[in-house]
Amino acid sequence: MNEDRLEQQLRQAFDSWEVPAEAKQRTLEVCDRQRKAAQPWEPTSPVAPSGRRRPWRFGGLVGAAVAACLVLGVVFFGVAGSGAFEAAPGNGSVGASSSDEVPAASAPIMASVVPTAYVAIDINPSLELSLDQSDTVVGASGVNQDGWAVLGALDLEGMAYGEALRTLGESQAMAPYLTADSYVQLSITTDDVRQEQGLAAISDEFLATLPCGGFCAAASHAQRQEASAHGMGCGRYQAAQQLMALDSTLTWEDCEQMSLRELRDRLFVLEGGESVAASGQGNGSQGGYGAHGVSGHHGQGAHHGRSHS
Amino acid sequence: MLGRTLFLLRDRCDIEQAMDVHGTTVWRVCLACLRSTHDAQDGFQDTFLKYALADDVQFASEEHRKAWLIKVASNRCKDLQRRAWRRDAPLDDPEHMDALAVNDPFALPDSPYRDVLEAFARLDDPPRTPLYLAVGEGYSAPEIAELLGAPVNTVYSWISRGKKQLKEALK
Repeated sequence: MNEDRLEQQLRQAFDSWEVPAEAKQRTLEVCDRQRKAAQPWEPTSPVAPSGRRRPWRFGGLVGAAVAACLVLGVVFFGVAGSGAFEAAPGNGSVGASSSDEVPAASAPIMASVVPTAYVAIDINPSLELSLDQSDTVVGASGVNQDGWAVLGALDLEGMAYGEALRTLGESQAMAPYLTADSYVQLSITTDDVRQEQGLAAISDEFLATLPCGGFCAAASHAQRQEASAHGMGCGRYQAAQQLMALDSTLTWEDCEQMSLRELRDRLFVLEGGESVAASGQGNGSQGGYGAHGVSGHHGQGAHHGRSHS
Repeated sequence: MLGRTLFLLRDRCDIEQAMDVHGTTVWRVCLACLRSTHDAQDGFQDTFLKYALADDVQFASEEHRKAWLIKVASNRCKDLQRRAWRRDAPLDDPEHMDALAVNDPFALPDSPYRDVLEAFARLDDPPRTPLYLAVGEGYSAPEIAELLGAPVNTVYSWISRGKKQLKEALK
């Protein structure tokens, strides 16, 4: 059989594979259940069931009403054209709503400052800071449950980046994770080279104050998104990828449970080194922006292959 | 200052639309990898659940969204494969393979493609998934390398080896 005939037969065979309607329906039902379970707060309550207070500056419904009025003002007076504020995607209700009703959690759209940079912090808590052009924190979110737990008692929004890092580093919540044998990676994602360099310098200064090893690297938007899909920051994601390539018995779920230090230790051994613990390596800041890691941008793929729609 | 610290899912319409446009691709990636409609259903569901939960991910284009879904699907299916390997008889066990080939709906006894699909199902993975992405989706080797996180030369080898093995099996 020649190659063209083989490919034709394969293609025709693959084309016979259709998604069962019940698979789609079941998936949508699972997502609906998750959405209901993930609704973290009721409109009248300022505190999420998990105990984490939402970042409303003015509190509860008053804050929501003020926010709605601000957005209406932005829309009517054309300030939105300045790009300073932009409704989060998928949501059209903010501008339309002039009531005091808080937007439903299932239709998320509130006015938010659009970040120009993201910094993922990986130890095993994985969390991410969103920053604006002035390196001010405009958002802080957990990438995994431990990350959310660390952020629980902290309010980093409005802080300068360096101040936010120091606050995190000195917090009680982070203390158990910043021990001499830990490892920290900061991964910066931004299209602004100057901002990237500035954030890297601040990150290196912060890492130098820690009792554990760590480094700072650049990450592309694609890497950030892929990592986030696995509940990891870019540092742990890349280490997990490398580790799984060398140890086929490991799964993503296994790696999601490991700290960055554990991932790196196992990788080190599989790559032929002795155990880091035995060798006494890995303590102290390794500094050096971009010394290891994920620098560079991957293309998002200009592929326009076969359409199945 | 307000920030996006909400932990929410995408709208149902968003998920339905993604499923309408890319559901077939995701299904076929899962089926090519897992060779069982039962397992493919798990892979399909987990992929779109991850999509639903990644509400802060914005896509520059439909191609970007498709590539993201394929990456998540192939990673999830690898996990499902490894879990099956650890728990049960290996998928490449001949008895298990015969059961898959004969009983699985994607290799229907009356299908005109039964022979080629059975031969495809008997391939290792890789090259099964890369071969599907190349022949079924039309991706180039460099694009498949990006999707699967593998070196491009390795992808070329996988595709070449897969086709060779299929031709041998279909002689």
